[in-house]
Amino acid sequence: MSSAPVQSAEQDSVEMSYAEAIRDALDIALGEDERVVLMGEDIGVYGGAFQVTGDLVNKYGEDRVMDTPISELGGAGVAVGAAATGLRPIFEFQFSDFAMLAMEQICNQAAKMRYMLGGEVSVPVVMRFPAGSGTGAAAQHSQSLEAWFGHVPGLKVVQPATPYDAKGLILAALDDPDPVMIFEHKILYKQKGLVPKGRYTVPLHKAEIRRAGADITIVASSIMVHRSLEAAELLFDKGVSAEVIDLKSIRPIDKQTIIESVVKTNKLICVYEGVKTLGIGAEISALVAESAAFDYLDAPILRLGAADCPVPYNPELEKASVPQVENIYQQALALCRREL
Amino acid sequence: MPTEVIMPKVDMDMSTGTLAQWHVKEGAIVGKGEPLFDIETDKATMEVESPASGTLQFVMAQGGDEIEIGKCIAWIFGEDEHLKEPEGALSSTTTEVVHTTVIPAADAPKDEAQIKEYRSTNTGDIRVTPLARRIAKDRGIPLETIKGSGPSGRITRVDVESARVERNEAQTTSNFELASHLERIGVDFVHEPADRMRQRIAKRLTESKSTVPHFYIEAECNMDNLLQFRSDLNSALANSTDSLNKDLSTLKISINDLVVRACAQSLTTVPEANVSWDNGNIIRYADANISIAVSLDSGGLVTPVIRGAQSKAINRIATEIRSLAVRANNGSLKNTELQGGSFSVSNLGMYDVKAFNAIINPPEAMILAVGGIRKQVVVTTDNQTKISSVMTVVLSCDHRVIDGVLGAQWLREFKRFIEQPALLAMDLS
Repeated sequence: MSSAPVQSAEQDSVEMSYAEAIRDALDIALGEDERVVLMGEDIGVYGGAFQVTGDLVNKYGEDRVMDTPISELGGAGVAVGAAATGLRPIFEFQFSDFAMLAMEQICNQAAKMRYMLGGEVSVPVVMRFPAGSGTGAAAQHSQSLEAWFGHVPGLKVVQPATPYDAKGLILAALDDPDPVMIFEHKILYKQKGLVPKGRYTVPLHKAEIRRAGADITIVASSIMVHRSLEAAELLFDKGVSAEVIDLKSIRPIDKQTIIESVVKTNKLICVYEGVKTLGIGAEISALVAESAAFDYLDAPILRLGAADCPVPYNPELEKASVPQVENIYQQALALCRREL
Repeated sequence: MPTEVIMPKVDMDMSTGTLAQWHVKEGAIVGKGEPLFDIETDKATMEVESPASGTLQFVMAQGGDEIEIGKCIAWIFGEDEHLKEPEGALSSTTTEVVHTTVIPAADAPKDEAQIKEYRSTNTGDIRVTPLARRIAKDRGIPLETIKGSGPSGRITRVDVESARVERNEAQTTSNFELASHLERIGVDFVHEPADRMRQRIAKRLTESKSTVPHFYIEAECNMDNLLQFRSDLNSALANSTDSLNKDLSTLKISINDLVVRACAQSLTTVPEANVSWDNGNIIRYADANISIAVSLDSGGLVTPVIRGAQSKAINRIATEIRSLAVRANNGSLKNTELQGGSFSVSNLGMYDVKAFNAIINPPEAMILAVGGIRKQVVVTTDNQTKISSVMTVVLSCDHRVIDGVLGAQWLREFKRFIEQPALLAMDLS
């Protein structure tokens, strides 16, 4: 589909927050294509729990920016059904944690319908999940469940880390014929960045090297990209050149970018906010160990994920339960110093 | 559970074994204790018995393969054991390890713990990152020679790279570099791989000469009495065909037999010299176990051992040496006959050399280098001159356990036995 040329992006860019970039994408989609509808709890008059949809209801009306009843299963079911029958719905969960109520519609219906109906029907639904910890919202409103969805064939799962990617990935998701799950990070909503005006897309299957380096590869996604970049800066002061890869998509995973990087740096740390056990890092570790990069490993592969516990309410414990800049820095340094 | 067939350790410093041949075909039935395969060490070929009764399956090594000690090379399935079982079990650590019996190895693995110990000495258990392993392999650097700087000594890339630098500095003329150097300067030559025996000799003696502090003592023995003694012995034997059996009456005692006997007697009267250095401890041997350097018709040499030579009469020593020499040449020496020496004799007398210095055969502490017998004008005790037969011997000693005085005492004893050969007939043990 159409994708803005990178060179023209800068002169036509404006600074906006991650939430504003998402709203910009939704605005463009609603304006371009009348099949696009927004659905979700409190996304209309209230503007969304995190004020992402804002005043879009005023511009496009309640028929296209629809408040749904407090039933995630019902709302998701309507979105999936609408997608299967010709609309391009974008469904917002208030908190990604609540998506568990809608698993049947997402994993059993949306993900499988095209396959089970012999390709005659596709489900081009886009779902948005405000995720992650750091808001003091306790165990039921702070999870990072993206890996659950990454386990389901038929879904695409992305985690934008910047305003630019948030907008580009939403527009790419709308162009995709299959269900795309977008995990947005609540802490990132206010983060600002340059975002091109108008339509552009970011590929749904491609990771990006955010910082090039020679000594160690740090693969991260979402907010962990920023923490990894900060850690890389500290590592640089210690003479360690870290390469930071922004995964962007966890299904599919851009294996090639990771493998090529590990072949270059010989060391790998996976940083993710989901629970460490059976998480994204396990998948990346295994795919590297199975690949040609195995023979280039000069240290054990490390995973830095959340502690195996519900996210604590206490702010200090909450912080301690997920990887922070200091953890990434220390672990990477230890690995490069052959202490691990 | 099917039984694992492993490559056994039959020699002290063996890390790999060469599978010579299977006696049983894959899929054939073998009984416990029946010959299963042969292994070839640099000393001898040995038969390995089957550890269990059943069908030989999943043969993973063929004749000529060099295999790490302790590695599984096949499986034996009992009647009620299923073919599918070991596929998963091949890499499993829970597999029941059954000891493979070797004849005549004295130190084959006896239980699981021992096998683990053997395995831990293998390069397979060296901690090394995949990258470091690959670089070391590409550059032909043995992992055993690299010191790892990672946790628990894990070898990483920098370790391999620094090892390479050291190696380049230390060995500017390794064999292959020599070949390419000779090619460059236009010297004509043939480049051939050395056989296992040659490599073993090179390795052991390099180790000995560079780690064992050698010193040498030379003595000259008057041989007139010994030559007379030998001639008396041989004519007495030849004249006794009526009372002695044929083997004995046709036996010709050699000078070397008497030298070996004299060494055994000297080790008995100076037992302090019958020792080995064992990494901070001293081994004192109960017997005079004398290694005889035997050169092979096919090149190279082996050192079979006459155990307990102090209590063996001259004729027994002589027949044993004949038997060992014949069997050394046809390759049928048993492993036990090649181990356990406490002292070596190397005799180049037949090549008309006057004297030479020998390199100690570890772990032994002494080796006697025996020169040829020659006529010489000697000064007698009453200051007269006389023509006598003399023989020069040089004793090499390991100074870690043998001091100069002890070596000299031993050599004085040896000279006494050679010059008063009647004492060789005594049992001093």
